[in-house]
Amino acid sequence: MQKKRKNDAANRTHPCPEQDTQIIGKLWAREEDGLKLFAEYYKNQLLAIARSILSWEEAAECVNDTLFAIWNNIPPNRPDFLFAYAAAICRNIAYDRLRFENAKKRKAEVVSLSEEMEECIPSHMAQSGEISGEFAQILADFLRGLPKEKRLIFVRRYWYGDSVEMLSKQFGCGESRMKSILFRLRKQCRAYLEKEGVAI
Amino acid sequence: MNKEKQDGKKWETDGIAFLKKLNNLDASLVAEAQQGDSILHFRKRRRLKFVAAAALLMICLTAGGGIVAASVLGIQIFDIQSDEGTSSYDVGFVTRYRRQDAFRGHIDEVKDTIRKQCEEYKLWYSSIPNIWYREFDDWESALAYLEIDFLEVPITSRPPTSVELSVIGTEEGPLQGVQFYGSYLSERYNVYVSVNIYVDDSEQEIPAQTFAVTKGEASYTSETYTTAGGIPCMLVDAEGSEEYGSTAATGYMVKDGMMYQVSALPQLRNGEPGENRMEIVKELLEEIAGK
Repeated sequence: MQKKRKNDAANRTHPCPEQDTQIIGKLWAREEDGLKLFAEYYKNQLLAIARSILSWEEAAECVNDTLFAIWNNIPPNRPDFLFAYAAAICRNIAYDRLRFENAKKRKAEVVSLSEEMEECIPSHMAQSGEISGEFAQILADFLRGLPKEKRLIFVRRYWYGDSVEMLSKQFGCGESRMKSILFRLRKQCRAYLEKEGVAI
Repeated sequence: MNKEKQDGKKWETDGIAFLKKLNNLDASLVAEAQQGDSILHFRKRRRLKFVAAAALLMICLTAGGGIVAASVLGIQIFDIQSDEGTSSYDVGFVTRYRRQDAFRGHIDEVKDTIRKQCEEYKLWYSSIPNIWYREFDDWESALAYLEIDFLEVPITSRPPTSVELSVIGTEEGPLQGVQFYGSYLSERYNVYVSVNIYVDDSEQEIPAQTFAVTKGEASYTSETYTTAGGIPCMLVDAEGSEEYGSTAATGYMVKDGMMYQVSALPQLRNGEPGENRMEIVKELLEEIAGK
């Protein structure tokens, strides 16, 4: 029982390679229309990612900083996945901004996310205190070994910062069922990281 | 384990460091999870778990009359899972759609509210835009709000503490479902009676599915039960931890095409051992089923 998605650019939520190629082409040619088109398609989604980490005002600033970074980084970069590239920049900026908020001010959602993530950290990683460079690759291998639905749930929760309630709506199950799925995924992730001996 | 690092990055917990490192995740995995058809597919597929199997059977049975299909398929419990996080099981049953015009009274106001909620909804809102709900003091006033005349007030020896009415609609207007949830709270047991009504003008009988979730580890036993009036039911007893209060007895019954669910949760912390929980459920099912 989902609301029907409106067929306009502002709410487009799926990748469209042809459109992304056009945007990248315009950016590469230093045409400002490229950035306007990018913002028209993806600003809301970037805002949603930033909002899961920061307050409303900071999230808006974060998205603006992301657009600025896109303009400055394309060229020389030509990303294969335009939105994923921009979203990673946005996420990075958001987490960097988080350092300036003391623990009491941090959003409940990001506190919840970080506490959940700690369940994935193997014991040997917790003691050493650093995350190895191989971590992202090994985590990618873990995710690719999961059934697609579980992989999407993991990435939507811990990369995109979707709330449990939103995930339960997206995947058509109750919140408690979704929490159970996430709990099992974190356990599996920890076991995989321990097996691979990833250093933290 | 939310300790702050001691090397100058005191703001950064282990968890946040982990979340930040996720930024280096392969872009193709991030792109795959971008919303849209890939996720919509799973929402639809989940509903077919019981439905696909039951629908095939119904094709064979409904040539002779839909009620035969319902009585043969009955109510089934499957996909039982149990671990220390949460435990759950799925319930499959056959229900019958009610027409859109079966709901009157304040229904237009409800639909307008849902339409407005959907229009104003933003991705980061925590509310569910297509659901409207309101609490009433009793069944009579809850039913009267939508002038529902096809559902009998569940007669119980104790009046409810409250009855919540939920309406699941769409931005375009048509309803998808209506649920009543009656709470009967006491010092010894928390009892709940819910009725789920599926809405569509086809008035077809369809296989449907719901699920129950218990916090913490729980063991489930189920048995069939038939009321004195001949209505088949399914009883599920869940024995869980006192910490989560997850021990409960639940009865499922389909009557007049509507799914009834009755639950009795003993208040273990108040010293109620809960031995009578299933008897309470059976009594309520008998009262609701009638003669």
